[in-house]
This record gives sequence, C-alpha cells and structure tokens, in this order.
Amino acid sequence: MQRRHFLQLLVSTAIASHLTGANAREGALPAAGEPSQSPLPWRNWSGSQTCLPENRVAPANIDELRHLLQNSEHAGTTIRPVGSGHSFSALVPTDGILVSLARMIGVLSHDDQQCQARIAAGTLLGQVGRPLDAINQALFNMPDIDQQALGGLLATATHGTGARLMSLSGYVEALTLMTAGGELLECSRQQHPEIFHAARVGLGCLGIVTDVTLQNTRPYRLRKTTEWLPLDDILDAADARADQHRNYEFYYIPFSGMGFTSQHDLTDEPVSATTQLDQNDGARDLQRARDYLAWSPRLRRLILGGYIRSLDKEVKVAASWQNYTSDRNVRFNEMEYHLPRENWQAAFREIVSVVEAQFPEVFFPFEVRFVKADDAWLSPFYQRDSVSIAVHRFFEEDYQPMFAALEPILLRHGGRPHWGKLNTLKSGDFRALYPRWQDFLEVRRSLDPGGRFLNPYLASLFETAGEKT
Amino acid sequence: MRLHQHLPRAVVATITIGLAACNGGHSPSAAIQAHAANSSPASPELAAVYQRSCQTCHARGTSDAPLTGHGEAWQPRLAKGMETLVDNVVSGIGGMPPYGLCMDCNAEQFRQLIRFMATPAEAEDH
Repeated sequence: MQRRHFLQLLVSTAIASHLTGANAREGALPAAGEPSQSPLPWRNWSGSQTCLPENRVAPANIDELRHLLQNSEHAGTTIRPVGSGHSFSALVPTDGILVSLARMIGVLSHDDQQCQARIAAGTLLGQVGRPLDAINQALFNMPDIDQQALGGLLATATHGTGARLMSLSGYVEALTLMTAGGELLECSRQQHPEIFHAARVGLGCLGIVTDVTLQNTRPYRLRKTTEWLPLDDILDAADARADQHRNYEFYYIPFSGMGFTSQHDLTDEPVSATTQLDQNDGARDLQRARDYLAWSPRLRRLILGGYIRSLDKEVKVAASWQNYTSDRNVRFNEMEYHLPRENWQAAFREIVSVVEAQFPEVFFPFEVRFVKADDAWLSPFYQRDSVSIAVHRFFEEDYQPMFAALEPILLRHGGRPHWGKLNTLKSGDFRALYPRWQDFLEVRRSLDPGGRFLNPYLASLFETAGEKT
Repeated sequence: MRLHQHLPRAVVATITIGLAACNGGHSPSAAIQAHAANSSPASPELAAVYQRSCQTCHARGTSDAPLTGHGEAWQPRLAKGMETLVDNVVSGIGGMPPYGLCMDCNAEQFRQLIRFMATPAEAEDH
C-alpha cells in the first residue's frame, strides 16, 4: 500500500467512526475573481496582488529597453520591472508599464579563473544550472523553487538555506543598471560602490538591473536526505545540525507534532534517488486531513502523527542544481521573517502554540531555514546571521488573521521581513530595522528623483514630502 | 443524536473514492513525449514565444503541466472553454506563473499557443 493511501485510509476510517459533518469545513473559501479580457490584468502567482497595467513590454535587448525609458510618451508613467510574479508583497502592481526581461536571458560571459559568470537578469533560475555546469561553474546555493527570474530574486534577497551560505544577493560581484534616463551603469565594489551596495537588493526601484555577475563555485554533487521526526527532536538538534550540514532546513506539519528535516551534504556518490514523496500531493493530503479532522485536534494529531511516523527516509544524490528545488503546484500566500539566530527557537515555539490554539484551519507546513549574513544594504541578512521562519496559507483562504497574529511575534524577536513576502511594515518600521536605510534612500533619490520606478507601495516606503511631483 | 449516525456509508465511500481518484490519469506515451520534446509552432514569432515561455514545462513532463500534443491531458482542459484557459494563463494556475511567463503576450497569442499545445500528437503524425 502506498503511504498516501495509508493516510487516506486513516482519514476515511476516522470519518466513518466520528464524522460530524457540521464540524467539517463547508466547502472552499471564495476564489479570486475572474480576470477581465481586455486589457489583460496582471496577477502574482498566489493572486494576492493584481493590477491593470496600461502596457506590458518585453524588450529584446538593451537598445529596446533604453528606447522605452527614453520615450517621451512614457515620461510621466510609472514603470515596474516584473519577473515571474512569485513575490507576494506589492512590489509589482502598477497602472503604468510592466517591463519583463524575459527576452534578455542566458549566460553572457564568464571568467573561469575567478569562477564568475555574467548572467542576463531575465534568466529564470531554472535556466541557470545547466549552462553554468557547461562552463564548469555552479551556484553556491539555490532556494527551493526555480521559477523566479534572476533579477527579481536578487532584488528581494531571495535565499536558500545553509548556515554558512548567503542569500543569492550576497554572491553578486557586479551588476549593470539602466537608470531612469536610460544610462547604463556598471556597478561593483570598485565602480559606483554606493549604487552597488544599494542595488544588490534594490526592489527594482533604482533602475532596471539588466545583468549580474555572480561569484560561483565549481560544480558539485549533493546528497539530500529527508527525514521525518518529532518536533521536539527537531528543535533540540536544529542549531547543531544547521552547523553540521552544508544545507539544513526543516518543516513542521501543524497539528501533527511531527516535521521533516532536509539536509544537503557534498558527496561523490553516484546519482541515485529513493522514492520521493511528492510535496504537492502531501500538501493536498494535509488539506484533506484538515477538512475532515479540524473538528478534533486530538484525532488529527493522532492520525497525522501516525501517518508521518510510517514515512521512510528519502535520499537523493544529484548535481547541485538538480537537487535543491521542487515544483510548487499548490499555491499559497506566505509571510517570512528573518530572525537573529539566537532568537528563532523561542519565536518558533510561540508560533506553533498560537496557531495550534487559534487556527485549526491551517494545514500548510511552517518552514525554517538558516542564512549567513551579507552586506547588501537592504538585505534582511545585513550583517546578521539569521534564521528564516515562513508561514503559509492556501491561496484561496484568508491569510490575514493568522499573519496578523504571528507578525507581532516575529517582530518582537527582532525579525526583518522577506521583501517579496507579505508583511504590514511601514517606512518607519523599515528605517528602524535597516542601519543603511537612509543611505539607500539617498541613492534612490539621486538615481530616480522623479520616482519613475515607484508604485504606490514603494512610494509609501521611500518617498519623502515633495520628492515626487 | 450525533450527525454521523445519519450519514450513509456512501458518503464515506465517496470521499475515499474522491481521494483515490486524484491519482488517476494515463502517462503520455513515448511517442507523445518525443513529440513534445521536438515540436514547435510553425510561425517563427509564435515559436519564439513558445520556446522562451512554454517549452520548459510543457515539453519536459516533469511538472503538472500537460505535455504538448498529449490530447488526453488537454481534453478536459479544453472542455472548460478557450476563454477560461486564457484566464488561467493570465492569472497563473497550479505551478504556472502569471501569463505563463510571457509578460508581453496578448490574448490571441495565448489562444494560438494553447491550440498548438493541445493539438494531439497523433493528429499531427498522421
């Protein structure tokens, strides 16, 4: 019998024995509204952000991008760069022009001796691994999905896990920025260093980053081990295991007392894989368990815990770029905060306690990852080794009550929010969290005094009185 | 009296069947996989869009995306109506990002791409 079928059987048995239909959730929550036909709206992946842009363009090259920016017809129009739409926060929406770099892709050049590669910013992360491998290079780390455009993921300090590994923005050695006026600036620690430090995590509001030069490493193979454990065991060992393994993270399955750890270690073993539990199937199973068992947390814990204890350890050995990511087909909204390492355990335990006391409808796992400090001005990891705690809600469900209950906990423990994920912080909050906030504002103002790259959300963060006409 | 005492066993059976049904569906044949891996729209403009936006998922068969030319997978989707499919592309669905990664496509281009991908491989091969 397959493990999933085992869970299904357990759930069905529980229903047969105890089902009280009135206690089960009654149907799905409202879906997002239907998009209109013309002009076409834009939505992010989860549907939490939407807009009706005046125009959507995808320049084929630098000249076309410059022409767009220098076109007097667009002089008063807000321009926002857009990647794959995987940010949950309001970075993209505009009624002006959405600019995609999806036609400006690929590895443009490389330096074998320095092990660096210059890559066009429109390249999807999933399109990077193979061509880098072909030039004897590999990314130091990757997040757990690879659908994001490089420009977007760097602009938001997207990260993987690894206590000795930075977010991807930490590996940017140089970048090319097209300013509001169409000027191309080559930026690095030596050239325009202030702009470089600001633009590595620039939220797409300094100009349009057209390519980046990444510090890479030689290709490597990883052994990924996934193991199901009681939460207390996970928490007791997490910090030590994070230091012990190249990459380490864990997920907690709410209302189960159980979670799974995932660790990556360098290996020379031959490529192989045991049977892998499909995480999308797993999310759907957890949703069903919630649907039928939310009325009895005790029974839910018993069944989920029993099922999870039956799951085997999984091992996959593969090239690094084939062993970090998985498909995410079940959509969700997400809030993620990056906490000082010394604070995360207390925050996490509090979150579990609050959710399991107040939000029985939650079924998405919580995710915990480790990230090394970097020095990009608006990186949430700025000068701080961090632990990231992420909570999720199914995309058709109202995320606000749970996020509102958990955000104060994450803030109280010193958290900085992921730029691409949901949070309610205002300009003053960010100023208090980021030592170089004012420096960033000054660089932004010098590059784009008219606020051409500011949508309403970004204007609320960065504009001072009278800055934008 | 508890509600479950009124619930017929059929409800439980239906739920169980519903759960099991999620695993249904046939995998595409090797011929369809080969077709998906090697085909592209005839129009150079459409082919360029297809190659940069659609091919990664719809030609490799490693995600939930229906393979190009896999008529059996496309049929239930086509039954929803073309405009629903275009709406799904615009909004994103499942693992597919908004606009199917073609940020500058218009609705007619999406229709053409859907028609191309949904055309059964068998029909093209005959």
